[in-house]
Amino acid sequence: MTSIPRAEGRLRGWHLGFTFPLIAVLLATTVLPLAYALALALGGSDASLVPQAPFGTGNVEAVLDRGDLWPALWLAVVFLVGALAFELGLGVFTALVLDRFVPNRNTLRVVLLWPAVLPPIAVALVFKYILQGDIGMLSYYLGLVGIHQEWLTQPSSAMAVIIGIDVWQYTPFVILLTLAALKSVPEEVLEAAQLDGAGWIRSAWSLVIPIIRPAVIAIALLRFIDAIQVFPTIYVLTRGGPGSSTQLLTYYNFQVFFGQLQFGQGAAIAIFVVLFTLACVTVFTRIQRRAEKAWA
Amino acid sequence: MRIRSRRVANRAVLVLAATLVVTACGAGGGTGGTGADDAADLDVSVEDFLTARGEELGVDRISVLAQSSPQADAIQQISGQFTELTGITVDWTILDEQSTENRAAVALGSGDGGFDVLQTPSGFIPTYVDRGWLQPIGPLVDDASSIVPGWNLEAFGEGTTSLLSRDDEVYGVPMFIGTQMFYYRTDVFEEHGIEQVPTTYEELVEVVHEVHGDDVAGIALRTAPSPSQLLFVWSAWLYANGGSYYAEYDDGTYSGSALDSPEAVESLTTYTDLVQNYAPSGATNWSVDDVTRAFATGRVAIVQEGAVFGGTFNNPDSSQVSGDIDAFTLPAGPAGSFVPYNAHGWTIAANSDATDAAWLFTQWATLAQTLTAATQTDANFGAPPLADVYSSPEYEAKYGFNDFVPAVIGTIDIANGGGVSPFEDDPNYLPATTDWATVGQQIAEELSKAVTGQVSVEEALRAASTYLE
Repeated sequence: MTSIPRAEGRLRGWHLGFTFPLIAVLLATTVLPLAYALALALGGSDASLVPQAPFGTGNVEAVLDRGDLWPALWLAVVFLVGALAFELGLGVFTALVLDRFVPNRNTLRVVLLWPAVLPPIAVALVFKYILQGDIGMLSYYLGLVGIHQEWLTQPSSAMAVIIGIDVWQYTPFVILLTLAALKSVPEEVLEAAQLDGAGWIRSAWSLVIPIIRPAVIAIALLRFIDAIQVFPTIYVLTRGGPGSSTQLLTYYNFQVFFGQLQFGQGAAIAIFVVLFTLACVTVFTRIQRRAEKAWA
Repeated sequence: MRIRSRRVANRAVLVLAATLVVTACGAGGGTGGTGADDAADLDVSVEDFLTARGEELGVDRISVLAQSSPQADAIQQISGQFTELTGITVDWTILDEQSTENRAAVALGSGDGGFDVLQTPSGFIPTYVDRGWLQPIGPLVDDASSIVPGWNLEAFGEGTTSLLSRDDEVYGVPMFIGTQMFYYRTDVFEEHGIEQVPTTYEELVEVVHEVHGDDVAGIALRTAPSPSQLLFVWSAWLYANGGSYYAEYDDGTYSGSALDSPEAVESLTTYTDLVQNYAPSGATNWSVDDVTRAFATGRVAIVQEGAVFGGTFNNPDSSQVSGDIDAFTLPAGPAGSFVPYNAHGWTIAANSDATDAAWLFTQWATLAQTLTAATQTDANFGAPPLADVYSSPEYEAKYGFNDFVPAVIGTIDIANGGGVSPFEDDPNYLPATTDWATVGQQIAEELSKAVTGQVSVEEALRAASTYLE
């Protein structure tokens, strides 16, 4: 019997050759842009895309002094909580139902996949026409039954629409990944529960969900990383309005950088977004580890 | 066993996710071609000059960044003539408005260039100039040997060139004037027995109330929270009512806020009432695309929109109301008539290494003959920056529906008569401060809250006013 050699702590020789392309790509696409943004944020000019000496915290302080950064962060949190709660709640529940009651799911998988692979800009454009004023399809049919709702011109409904579109597009993605995770639930555990008289709801709640919880947290993490970047939907549907009610962190970043041409402050906000994302990812991974330990 | 199962599940999740993330990427852009089918009818002396100058310069190509718009599309369509005469190939990059602004900011802000000539809206001139991104036109104009016969900067009028100036130095040659007028449905007016177009804002409001109905709304106006949308349209109403953004203007410097004045409150109240109660549903967050589409599809009786859209509105291929429309100049308020007025200019990047070739292109693109030819293309370029073009028979033949041409000329007359800014010596429609991109955006967002009914007009103006103090 041959055993697989333990991975050594350091890369050596030809190992480095194989990993070099990956390291080069990571450097070019992640580390360098981040370093550039940091240099721009700490640069002495807010008006140039070339980092300027003397370096300092002027742009960072200016961003923190802005009254509109914190509302943008708050709106991002509202969006993230709303979207992730619906997507995970609906997604996991639907996956459990499908796993139990729909045995042949090959066609279903394809159907579930397509909203997630649609370009967000195309989805936003379609919804723009569905929701638009009195000629949009949804507005028209609701109007027939006496409901006249202006979706994109009221702050609460505009935010609800942004969340709703994200839920529409990515809940199937959550279902699909949860179905994959459900494959890991041992049949014998479910059979034992059945023999003990546990019904489907009890089994799902007390056995299945705890088993797949680490996977669900991983799914939530993936959705978080994607959702924090929401942009095309806002750009197409509301441009951050009405007022600034849908000016989430990333759109706000775009506005400062390209709309107001404040490159240093824009870069500082981008770094803030990265730090916020990293902080949230750290929280997610800790929760995931705790869930894994709890089950182990 | 459990741990292995969880690992399998987690791996499945990550593999699926990676696949989906990879397929979700996309990008866009475009580079235009050239053609000489609708070439300008240039004098022989002009053609000879362009040919000789092209040979002298020995430049193979220049790059131009422009917005996808009638003015740029039209010039691009006929730019083959420039290449044919000078031997200089024009590499066009034509993008939508927002993408053009982003691309220009990156190209100019990085100092690396990439473009020799850029279409620059007048609102960006203060920022671009203060950052040293553009070349002044003055030294080029002063070099008599570089001037194309018949081309004259003064022909564009001081009112227009001053929009592209900073501290008395010109930085762009006008390629388009952005002004506005009211378009209306003649059939709807006839149906309601309205024979005279409104000449005051009070009359305008009465007419809107009169023609508003279930099938055709009374009016549509830009309301999206942006300086180029809500503020660009509403400011004419504000000035006509005696209001302004700043309290004082002195030699290029603005000071003190006047935005919470009773005149401003009254003006925004009127505007808000119209878009909330006499416009199509959802029109409280509309941008230019929404307004023009609503009018062209027959959903609105009156719109205040750009003169550049006249050709589009009266073209049966692009409008369902062509043949049933007319236009009138913006009405007067207690303080007189004011019109939204801006210009787009061909500007030359400070870091261009083909300045002379760029200058040659800029002149060719703004010759009266070139602009006249541009108005005849299928790009519907109805707002050239030269008064001569409006009085040409070609322009009248293509765009002369009802009172459209007189309305355009009347609008330019209002602008030349000081009806652009509430301050006598200020040529700028919106305040030309370096931080206007930021301040204007903040003001637009505050006012949008009143337009959508989130806060009262007084509250919105009070909040907006703080950004000016």
